[in-house]
Order: sequence, then C-alpha cells, then structure tokens
Amino acid sequence: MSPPGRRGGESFGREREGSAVSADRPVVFVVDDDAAFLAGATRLLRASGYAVAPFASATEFLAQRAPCAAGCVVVDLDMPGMDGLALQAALAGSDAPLPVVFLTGRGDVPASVRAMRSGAEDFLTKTAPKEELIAAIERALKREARERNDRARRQELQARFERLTSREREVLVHVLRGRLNKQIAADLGIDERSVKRHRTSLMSKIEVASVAELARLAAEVDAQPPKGR
Amino acid sequence: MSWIPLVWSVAAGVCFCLAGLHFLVWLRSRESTASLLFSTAAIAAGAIGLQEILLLRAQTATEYGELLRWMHLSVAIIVIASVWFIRLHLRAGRLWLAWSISGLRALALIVNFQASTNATFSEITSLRFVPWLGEVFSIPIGEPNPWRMLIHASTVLLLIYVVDVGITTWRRVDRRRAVILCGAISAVIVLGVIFSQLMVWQVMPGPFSGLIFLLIVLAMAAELSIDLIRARQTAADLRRSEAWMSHAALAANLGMWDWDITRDRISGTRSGLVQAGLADDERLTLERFLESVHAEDRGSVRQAIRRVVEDGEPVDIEYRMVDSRGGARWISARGEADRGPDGKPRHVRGVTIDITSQKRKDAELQQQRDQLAHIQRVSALGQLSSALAHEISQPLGAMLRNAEAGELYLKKTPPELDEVNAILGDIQRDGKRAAAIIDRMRSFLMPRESVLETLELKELLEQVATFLRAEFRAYDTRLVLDLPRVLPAVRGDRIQLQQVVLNLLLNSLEALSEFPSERREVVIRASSMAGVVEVAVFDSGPGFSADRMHSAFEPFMSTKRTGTGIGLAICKTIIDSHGGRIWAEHNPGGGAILRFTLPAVQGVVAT
Repeated sequence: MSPPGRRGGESFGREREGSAVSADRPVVFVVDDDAAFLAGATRLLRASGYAVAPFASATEFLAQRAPCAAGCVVVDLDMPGMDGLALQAALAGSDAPLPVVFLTGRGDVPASVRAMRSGAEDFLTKTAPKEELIAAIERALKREARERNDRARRQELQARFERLTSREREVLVHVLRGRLNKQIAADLGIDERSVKRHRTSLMSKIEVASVAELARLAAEVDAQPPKGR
Repeated sequence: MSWIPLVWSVAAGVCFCLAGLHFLVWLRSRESTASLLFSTAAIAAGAIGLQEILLLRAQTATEYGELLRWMHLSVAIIVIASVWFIRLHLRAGRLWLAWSISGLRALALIVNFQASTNATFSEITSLRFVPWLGEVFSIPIGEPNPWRMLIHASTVLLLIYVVDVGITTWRRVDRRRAVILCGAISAVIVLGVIFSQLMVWQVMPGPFSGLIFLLIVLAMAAELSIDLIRARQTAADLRRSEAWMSHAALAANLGMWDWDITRDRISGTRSGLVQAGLADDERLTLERFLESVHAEDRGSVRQAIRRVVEDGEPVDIEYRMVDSRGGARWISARGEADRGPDGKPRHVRGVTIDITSQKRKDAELQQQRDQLAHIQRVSALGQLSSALAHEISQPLGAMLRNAEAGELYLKKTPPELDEVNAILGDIQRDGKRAAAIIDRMRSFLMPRESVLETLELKELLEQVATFLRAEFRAYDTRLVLDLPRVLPAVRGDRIQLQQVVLNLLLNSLEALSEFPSERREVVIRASSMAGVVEVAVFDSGPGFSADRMHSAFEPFMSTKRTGTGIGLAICKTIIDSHGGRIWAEHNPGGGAILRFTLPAVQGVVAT
C-alpha cells in the first residue's frame, strides 16, 4: 500500500531544488501543462514520500534538469508545444535517459502504442487509481536504478579494459578466441614466455581469475560499448 | 288667367322643388355643402320669382319700394350663394374676388335697409301703369339711389370672377362645366344688363329677374345632376369592385373591419368579425374586442391601438384570438386611421387575416430545423469526444490526486490540516471546472427549442474558442481570436450561434489536417459596421474550388472523408433564420474565408 518509507512533505520550492541536485535520492519529475493536475499530482507523490519536481512544460524540464539526476518522469501525453512523446525522444537521446510514465486524458490507442514501443514504462489515464500510478512510478524507479547500476558497472569494466596495453589487447583477442599460448606466440611472433606474462598482467588488470570469467566480462562490454567511443 | 303669375309661379315652383331635393341631399350627407348652397340659391331664386309677381302688380309707390327692398335681399343671397357654390364645386376662382363680391353685396344690403326706400331708388314718387302683351305692369318713377353703384360694382366683379373661373376650368379640360355654369352666369349678368336697359328704354316693362335667375338655378341644378348621374355610375362601379373585393377577401380569408372611434363601434364583414372573435349581431366595442384577444397579446394590441389613435401610425400587428371553444387563432391585422376635417382620426379601417395555419407550419418548420440542428450538434460533439474527454479528465484527475493526497495528509500524526484545507479548496475549484465543461456539453447535447435573447457576440466567440481549445491542441493547430474591443450585441439563439461558430472552426481545423504544423492556424475576426456584425473564419487550408464555393452551404456536399456534409448547411439554416448572411471566399493568403453577418441590436454596445 504505502511506498518505501521515505519521508516527504518538504515545501514545494525547497524540495525541487534540493532533489534536483541530489544524485543519490531519486526524483519524480512531473511534467503537465494543466496547473491543477500538476499541483494535485505533486501533492500526492510528495505525501507518498517521493521527492517531486513539478514542471509546467517539457522544454522547461529539459532546460532545468540536472543530467545526472536519478528518478523518473511522469508526463502528460497531450501538451501544447513539446508533447510527451517528444520529451521521451529527447530523453532517450541523452546520456542518462530516464524512464517515462505517460498520462493521458484520452486513452488514445495509436499514441499509446507508439509510446509503449519507444519504451514507455507505463501508460495511464489521468484518472487512474493512485495505486496504479505509484506502482508504475516504482517500476520506473527500479528500472532506472537497475539501468543506472548497469551503466556504472559497464563504465567500470570499460575502465578496466582501457587499462590494457596494446600488446595485452592483442593477446586478449587471441585468448578469447580460445587459442593456446604457443599458438598466440607464433601468431604474434613473440616467445611463449612473453605471452604468459601479458596474459597474467591482463587477467589481473581485468580482475578475473579464469578465462571463462574474462570472456563473460568482455562480452558484457562488447554488447553495449560506452557512449562517445 | 293672366300669363305672368303662371309663368313666374312655375319658375318659382321649379326652384323650390330643386331646392327641396338638394336640401335633402345635404341632410343625408352633411359634407355636401355645395348642395346646401344650391338649395339656398334656389330658394332665393324662387322667392325672387314670387316677389316679382307682386312687384309687377304693385299699386302704390310705397308698396313697390318695400317689395323691391326685399327683392334685393333675395338677389344678394343668390349672388353670394352662387359665388361660393362655384368656388366649392369647380374648385376655382380667386378668393379675394369672392370675398369682395360678397362684401359689396352685404354692404349694398345694409344700404338697402337703411335707405328710406331701397338700394335702387332713394325715392319713388309715383307708379306708371303700362299695358304690355295683355298685362298691365307697374313701373316706378323716382330718384335713383347713388349707392346703387355698389351693386353695379359687385356685378362687374362677379362677371370678372365668373369669366376667370370659366377660363381656369376650361384650361383644366373640364370644358362642359366651364360652359354650363360660367356661361350661364355670364349670360344671366349680360341678360340682366340688357333687360335693365330695355326697361329703361321702356321696351320692356320690367327686368324679369325671376326668369333670369331661374337660368342660374337650372345651370347649377344641371351641374349637380350630372354629379348625381355620375354618382350612379360610381355606385355601380363600387358595387362591382365590392363584389370583386368580397371574392378576393373570401379567397384570401381576409376580414375587413371599421372601428368608429367617436362612437366606439366596430363593424365589418362577417369573416372579419368572426376572425375578430365577435358575433355579428351584438353591439361591438373596442373593449368587447379586446376581451377576445389572448391575454398575453392584449397589451401589445392596446399599444398598437393607442399609437394609431394618438400618433396616426398604421396598425400592423399579429396577435392571438381566443374563440368561444377556448382555441387560439393567430391573426394578422393591418389598418390605417381615417382622419376627419380637423385632422383627428375618426375611424380606423383595415383588414385581418387568419394566419394560424401559416404559424403552425412555421412552427413545424422551426421544430424540424431545431431537431436537425440538434442532431448535427450531437454529431459534432461526437467528433470532439476525444478532446472533450481529455479536457474533462484534467480536473477529474486533479481532484482524484488531491483527494488521495488529502487522505495521506490526514493519516499523518499530527494530520497536516493546512495542506488538507488547501487541497479541499483546489478540489472545489476543479469540481466547478469539470461541472462547467459538462454543462457546456449538455447545453449542446440537449434537444431544445430555439430561444431568442440579446447576446454579446464577443463573449460567445470566446466561449466557443475555449470549448474547442482541446481539439485544436490535439491537432496541433493554433486558434487565434482577433476581436475588437467593442462589438455590438446581436439577437439570437445562443446555442445555435455557438453551433455555427463551432462548425466553421471545425471545418477549418479539418481542412488544415493534411498541412504541416507551421501552416496550421485558424483566425477568427469580427467587425461591425452599419448595423451589421460580421464574423470571419480564416484558414490557410486547401480552400474551396470555384464550383464548391457556391455549393459549400448545400447539404451533403462534403468533400471531407469524415464529414457528414450537413455542418455548413446547418450554419446557413441558422444564419438565415437569424436574418443574416453566410458565404465563402478565397483567402488571398491561400485557403478559405467563411464569413457570416448578423443584424446588430441597435443601442446596445458590448464592452
């Protein structure tokens, strides 16, 4: 029934500023052009213990949000100017995409299909019960936390692989292909002893004990190469 | 038996006879003053005849003088009466001449009765008795009265007057009259002069005035008789046109009536009285008539009657009559005041027509129009349902969120009552907002009869724009209101006029749906001039083709995939029934302009 025991109830302005800069506490960003609904939703989520940051338009939100802030976005699908779908697209293109929960007054089928396809966490009517809204926010926050963890882990792994020298990287490629030290030495035109030394060094830099583990981590990094590379 | 009394008596008899006849005519119709003047003249002529019989046989100078004195009175009467008869009957003659002749004659009379004998002789010394054509005539011998010049002067003026009238009448192509009346009177004057001269020369023993004046009377009688003959013809014509009129009245279901204001009596044709709710056997007064007018219309009927009686404004009203069985009939009445000589209305006359079936048809037609308009409103609202659902879910969602938050604030220890108070205020506000949206929808959805009221057009346009805001937003189209600060009010049905604006805006919105969003803009402009308010809806869509431009307002002519094709047709029906005009134009900047006008309510200005 009631969400995880975080305390809410700070005043509107303070909460917004405080939560926007706090990186560890997730923030629910509510974006709606209808002032009455925005105020009501903000009150409810705050009373339910979330840190809430309300915005009257998508552009205002994009301009003011801290890129590293954790949390999720609850957005009205129909808004003048930039609507919910456009906001989602803008977020998806950023470094730290936030999950989006869409609200709509009209239960518009084509729009909801598009929204779900582009990865909307949930699609709710504005009059949906509180439980559904909170459940959707919880799911979004969990997913965001997981993605954030994954991102952090990937970045860390990336960093490990980046520590390798170019020779060690060459050796790594051969090791992952399952070749023996002798074969690698022949291929690279170096002696087997050197291969062994590089191998030990890279295993310790990547912080793995077995080739199997090394292969798993390498696959994980390969699957989603860090942005900007 | 001697011939003088015989001839003269016959002449006098003719005169009296004609006098009596025309006196009766005057008695029957008091307006015919000419008849009264004629009978006065004829009586005087008859009197002259009788007086002359006595005069010609007078035995003493005193008797002769006295008779002649009274004969002057008769002559003066006949001259004055003839002068005014001519003026009245021929509508000609100089007024100053008429007055001068009358004045001179009156003066001569005064002299006549002041003198010792009369106006002709200052003294008659003796009489001569002259035998002539088997009779013995008495001829006076004495001193002429110098005042007789007055009589001569008046005779000269009379001749001038009559000749002048004769010329005027002749010029008016009314030659017969000029010849008969003026010719006769001129002849009488000339004859009188000749006879007098003959008498002076002692060729004739007397002036024979009795016969001379008979001529005038006969001429006047002929004139009047011609009028009588003509009146017969007129009466026949009248009967014929009355017959036509009654057939026409019957065919057109017309009733004719006449209200005699001074006597407060209403008379009329049978159908007129039946239409007026009156039996034709009772004595009908205005109050009796008003009793049978429908109570709701009695005030306006009274007002119309007051206007016609006091200001002489023509009557043109529609009202309901309640018949004996309690049924109401619609009557249209038109009439006009008929004024007396003093300019005051004496009668009000006019026609009534039973327009009940017309009214019924009108009402049925209006009902059908209302129903059709309603169906179209429902269908238009269906088109808007998605946007309206969105619009209404905003306040509903806000209320729900607020109520849920309020519940949580109350559960806290201690409960956050300030926050709950603020929440309750917001819930009320949003509840009202949702109710207003529902009211707007309901007013559009309810079947209803049209109700005329004075409307602020500017407010009405803004209401429709608000209503469509969500729909325009959904299609990412701008809606721009370009309204002047002041617009005159109009008279009409609020919902139907809203429907017109809504249809025009939706039409433009749909026309724009295929265009890129930067072109999607609809502008409403309003202006007023010369008692007319004009509203124009501009869009930059594909516009109308030349042939569509004219058929745009015909039903089932939609070129849109989703349109029912009656939206613009309904607009035309509604605007027509409001006395306005609606048409389509090319927008010089591309697209279409739909314009409509409505008559402005005078004197009321919206601010």
